[in-house]
Amino acid sequence: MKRFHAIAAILLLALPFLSANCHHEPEEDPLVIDGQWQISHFSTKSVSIGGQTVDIYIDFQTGGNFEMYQMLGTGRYRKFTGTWKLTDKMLTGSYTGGQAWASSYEVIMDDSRTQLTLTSTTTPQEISTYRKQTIPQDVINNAL
Amino acid sequence: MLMLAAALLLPASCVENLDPNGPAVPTPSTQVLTKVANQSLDSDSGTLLLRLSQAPDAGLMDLLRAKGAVSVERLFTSTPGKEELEQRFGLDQWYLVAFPDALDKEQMAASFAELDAVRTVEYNSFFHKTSDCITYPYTGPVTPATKADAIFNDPMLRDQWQYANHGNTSIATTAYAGGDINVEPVWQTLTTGDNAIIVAVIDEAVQATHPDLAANMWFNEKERNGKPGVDDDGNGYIDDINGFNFVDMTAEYDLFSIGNSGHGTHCAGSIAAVNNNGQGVSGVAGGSGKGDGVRIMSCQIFTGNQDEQHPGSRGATVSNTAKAIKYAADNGASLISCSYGYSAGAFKSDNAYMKQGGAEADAIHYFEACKNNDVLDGNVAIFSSGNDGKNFAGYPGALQDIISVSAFGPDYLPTYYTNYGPGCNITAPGGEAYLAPWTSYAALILSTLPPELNDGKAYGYMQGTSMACPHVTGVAALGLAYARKLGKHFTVQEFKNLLVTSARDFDTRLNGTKTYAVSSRKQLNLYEYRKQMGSGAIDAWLLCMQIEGIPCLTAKVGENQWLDISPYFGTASINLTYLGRTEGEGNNTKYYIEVSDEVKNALGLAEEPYVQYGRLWVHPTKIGAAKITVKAVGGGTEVGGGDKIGGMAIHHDISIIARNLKSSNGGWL
Repeated sequence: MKRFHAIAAILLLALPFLSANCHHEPEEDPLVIDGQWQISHFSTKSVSIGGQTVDIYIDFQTGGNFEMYQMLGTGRYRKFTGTWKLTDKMLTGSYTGGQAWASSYEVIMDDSRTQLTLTSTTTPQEISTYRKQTIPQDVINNAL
Repeated sequence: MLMLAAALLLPASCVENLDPNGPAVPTPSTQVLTKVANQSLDSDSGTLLLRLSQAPDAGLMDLLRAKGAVSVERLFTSTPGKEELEQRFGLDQWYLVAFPDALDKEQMAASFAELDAVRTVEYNSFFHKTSDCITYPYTGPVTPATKADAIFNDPMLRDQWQYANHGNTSIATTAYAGGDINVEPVWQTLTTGDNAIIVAVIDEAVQATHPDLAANMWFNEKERNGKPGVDDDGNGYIDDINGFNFVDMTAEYDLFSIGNSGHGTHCAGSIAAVNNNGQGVSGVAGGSGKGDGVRIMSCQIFTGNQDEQHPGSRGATVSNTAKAIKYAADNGASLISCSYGYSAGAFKSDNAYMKQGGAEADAIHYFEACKNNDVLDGNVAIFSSGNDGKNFAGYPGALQDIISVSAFGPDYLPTYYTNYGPGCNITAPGGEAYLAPWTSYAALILSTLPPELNDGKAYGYMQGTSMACPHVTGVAALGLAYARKLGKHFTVQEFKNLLVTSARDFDTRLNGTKTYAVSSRKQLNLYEYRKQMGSGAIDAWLLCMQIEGIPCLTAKVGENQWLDISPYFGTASINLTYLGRTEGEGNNTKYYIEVSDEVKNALGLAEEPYVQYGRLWVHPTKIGAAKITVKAVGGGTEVGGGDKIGGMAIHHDISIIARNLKSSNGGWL
């Protein structure tokens, strides 16, 4: 028993040193999704559903606003705007007018910081992957 | 025309033995009478149209001569390379037979019908313009527009409410903001026209030298650069530089003789008055002032309405009209704008019209089968529905497969004169003279006019479905221009579907009554017009959006839900009658949509989709995508054709993506 107390005492004394050693390990970078993204995969498939092309550009702007340009199938891109918030890897948002997104999303960023995966928290089988991509000017100019 | 290859001019001797009272004609048998297609009332004296089962040989010519014919010529000029198409529509079988005016045309018809080789005898009926042909000179300012936000600098554009109706109560106390063709955003961002698209105005002559039309006139370059008096392009018509005068069968237009009103010039201005040239009015597809407006071909079939009210007028007969339409087909027109027709009620069904109005119906269908642009596999004919105030359209526009246009005024309500109901496919601005405050003519349609016919003014007002028709033609021309710009291709039927479904809701305003005043105050019961003004009000922007392509609708897996189909059928989708098995009645009717097993499997449909309240209801059970074909009636509640007069059958393939997530605003997130 005495031996146990002695070991515990040594460990307690060593704690400050151990924690001091932690300062030398790299900190996990904060998750930053600001910037422009283009959808690259939907679930495990390419960017199509049942043969219909899906093209989404999102600009997560610093300050919490977003612009989204969306084309499903054919025709002209439609523009959506609103606000977003990222808290503990959980992305939430609403469209202009106050309507909440259909889901919140768990965010995973790859090591290169060029790929973003959003997984729906309500229906986890809905996974969209985005890659870093500047939104083409003609998409912006011609969107409805 | 003397060069008509098939024209068979009879020797003068053939009339030597004519009895001044006409040849003896036996009492016609029933079989003979069934060959006589139409009524003799309101038709030309001295000519008949015969559909023959064979080209007339010497024997048949002798028989026709013996019955009083002085000339027999093929109605339609045959065009090299198009013989097969001419035969497919029976154009090679029609002959125009002339006989002395003194002979009784009914007896002549019965007599010709006795011949075995004669399949049909058609009286050479008169068409009538669908306008009262009264013009009111424009007296407003004519200085170029300088307003910074003016799209074009045409000074009178501000007075053309049909393009941008701001609800100005000085035009009409009941003026309705937005009651227009919604063309300004198209001009601003998409297209203003394309000089490769040719529109033939089948009407009075278009004044080709009019300062606001000259730059947008079609030119037959071979004739323009050829020798006078010579058929330089070999099309059977001599010196046809801007088109042809089918009343007198000459290249010289008759703009000013009795009966002329400027009707053709007015319609042409609505389609393609030159835009942004600092003068006059704007045209729907008149370009941007850089030579990019659609081109107007002038095919004159009228001087005036040939009836008791217009003595001395000449045209339009079936024969000269049918020739004009074929000319347009053979010389590059993609659209014909036809602001004329028979009176509503002259024919009660497509079959009745097709039987009785054979020659021009054949010409119209031939026109639509010819391909004159790189967007469509054919051409499109557009007609006015008529000004009889009747609850059905006049033919030929009332034909199930032909677009017929009704009219609204600046109050975005039916005009007092417009035909409505079966056969009317869409509605457009036609102007209305009798709306308060009666202080100007601004509630009518402002366009180009020959100054010689309009108190020296080159611009003026008119009203009628005659004016509504060229607005739809102009929008169609803009649509072709935009499709061409995008490199898009459609079948004629697909394009008609797009055009007829590019319509805004019109019916929800049709409550109560509308007051107008002719000699005394009168009222229209607006409820009578519900579901009767075609698919709704033409919308140029919507047409261009449909041409670009329509995004898929998003449905949520696991729910029976409604989808907004207005991007496909316009905001008038709520008013349309859809085709399919029905359940319920009136506004609650469910129209079930037939879908294939492939579609059912793709979306895992839990129940049959249906349309109710202008919305598509679907219940997918798995992630996927499919196209569902929704069929509807373009105007009225029943598809026409056969023994009926009715609307056009239209359909759209609606693409649906089913996901587990769905925002009600359609956003992806």
